[in-house]
Amino acid sequence: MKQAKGRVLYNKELLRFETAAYFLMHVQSPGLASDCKPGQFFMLQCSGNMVLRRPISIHAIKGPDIISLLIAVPLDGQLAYKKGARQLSELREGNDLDLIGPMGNGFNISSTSKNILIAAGGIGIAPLKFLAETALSSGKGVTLLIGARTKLGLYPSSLLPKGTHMVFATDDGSYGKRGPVSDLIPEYLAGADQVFACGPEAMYETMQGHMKTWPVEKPVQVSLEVRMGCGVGACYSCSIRTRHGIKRVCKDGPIFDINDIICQEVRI
Amino acid sequence: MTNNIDLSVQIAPGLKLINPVMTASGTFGYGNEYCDLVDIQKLGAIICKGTTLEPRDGNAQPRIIEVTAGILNSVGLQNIGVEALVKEQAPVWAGWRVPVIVNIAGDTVEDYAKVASKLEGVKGISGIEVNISCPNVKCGGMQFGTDPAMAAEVTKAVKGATSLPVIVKLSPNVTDITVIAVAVEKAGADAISLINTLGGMAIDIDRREPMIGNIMGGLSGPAIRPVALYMVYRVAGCVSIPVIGCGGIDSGRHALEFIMAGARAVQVGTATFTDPQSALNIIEDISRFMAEQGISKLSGLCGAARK
Repeated sequence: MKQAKGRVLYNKELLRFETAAYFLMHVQSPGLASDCKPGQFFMLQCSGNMVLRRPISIHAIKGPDIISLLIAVPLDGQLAYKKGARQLSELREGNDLDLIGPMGNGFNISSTSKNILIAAGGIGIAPLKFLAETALSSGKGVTLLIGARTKLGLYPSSLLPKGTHMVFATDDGSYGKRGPVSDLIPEYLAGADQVFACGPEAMYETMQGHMKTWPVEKPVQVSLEVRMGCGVGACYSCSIRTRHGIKRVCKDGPIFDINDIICQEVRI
Repeated sequence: MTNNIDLSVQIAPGLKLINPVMTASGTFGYGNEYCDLVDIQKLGAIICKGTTLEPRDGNAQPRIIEVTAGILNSVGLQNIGVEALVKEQAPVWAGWRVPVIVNIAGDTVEDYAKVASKLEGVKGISGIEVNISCPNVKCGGMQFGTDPAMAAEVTKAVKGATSLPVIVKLSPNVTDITVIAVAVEKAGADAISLINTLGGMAIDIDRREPMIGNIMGGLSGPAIRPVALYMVYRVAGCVSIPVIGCGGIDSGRHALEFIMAGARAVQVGTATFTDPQSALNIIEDISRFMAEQGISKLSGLCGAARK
């Protein structure tokens, strides 16, 4: 983990729907990507007089010095706690960005896994592209289930790694299968050695319910999001109760075994 | 940093700091969390997370939210407890040059005294800051800081249980902070730090519920700076023990405002979240200001703006 001054190389709106826009940002700094693991995040300093940094997961690695970030920007971002993301979206090519990372534990891809199943709900795709790319590069088979409320919120498949088996779902049926992405998981479970997911807490709650009916037990890792203060484990702003005691999402997470988390505790 | 500048300050008998900038309790953990990012040995002192007799889990999520020019937090004194602190953290601190001051809290006067006595003679601990001002817990905080008699009682109990320097951290959530300040001074406090956070809240109008799990939280950051500065100014005018200023300090200029109001030293809290280098930058800023003004000793600026 280090604090670096990065240079924004690219920052453009990728898609936009009713409540948010997703911005894709590339940041460069010497050695920035060197120790990054999928599931880890950076704390980005916002411009203006914002006080808190924003935790943003690593979306992809574009080279030893360049990371890619996917940032959800609320469209009604008038309040202070929503303004940070908006200010990040206003950074332009050549602007400086102070960032700290990589932070957190990251996903753990088992060396014995041959195939992994990944489920992304909405902006949950953010850390999962890097995960899919990492798994593919070590020769594993990757099935990626991608869900959104409508087709407007679906991450473009052209930007996902080739060789990934992709399946889409939308809540309103406007693209792919109708229904939440979590409903697709049982169908694709058979060949997977590990399951990974990132999405809203409701998705994990559904998954916890489904898991009771899975024919075989599979290890499931999920990424949690709560508001953070420091990002280094010092302020306890992101602590949650888990089945194994109190944990700091920033330091002990953000990746947890789904069986360890108590969904009602994870509120943002 | 300019060599002939003397930034050292004595904040209590037996507690001299190489510079006046400390990290505020609750924002810097136990110090080691920031070792990768900050050259912590350059700090004036580190004040660790508020510590209670038993470990505490703290409050429900969400615990923090950004508001205009500040943050609301309601961590609720989550901490490892004094025994784990003595066993696991103090031995690490004993190897540090930077002094570590332990912030303590309790549900009863006896709790405070017990925590203080468990710190007695422990290597690596340079002082105690008594938290009688945490707004985020039902017990163990502010009720001691809003009543001068109770504040004095806690101070006396802690002083009786320790030979370490004792700083008492005051709450701004009172009618007249000078009354509390005078009471803890009379009760034997070696120094006073102020202010802790101001009670506040924010509501999500779409969900129709408070944005903090605990309903209310403590407001910190630039938003509270003028309030903190005025309280420091007032308290410094009515006690003779050292005053340590705290509240929204994020630059050398603002630190100097507190010093000129009469603070002997300052604490930096929320600004560390914005930039972990804040405290170190503030030290540099103060030093540069002194060089520019031709002042060699920081004490020459203490209270300089008082009328």
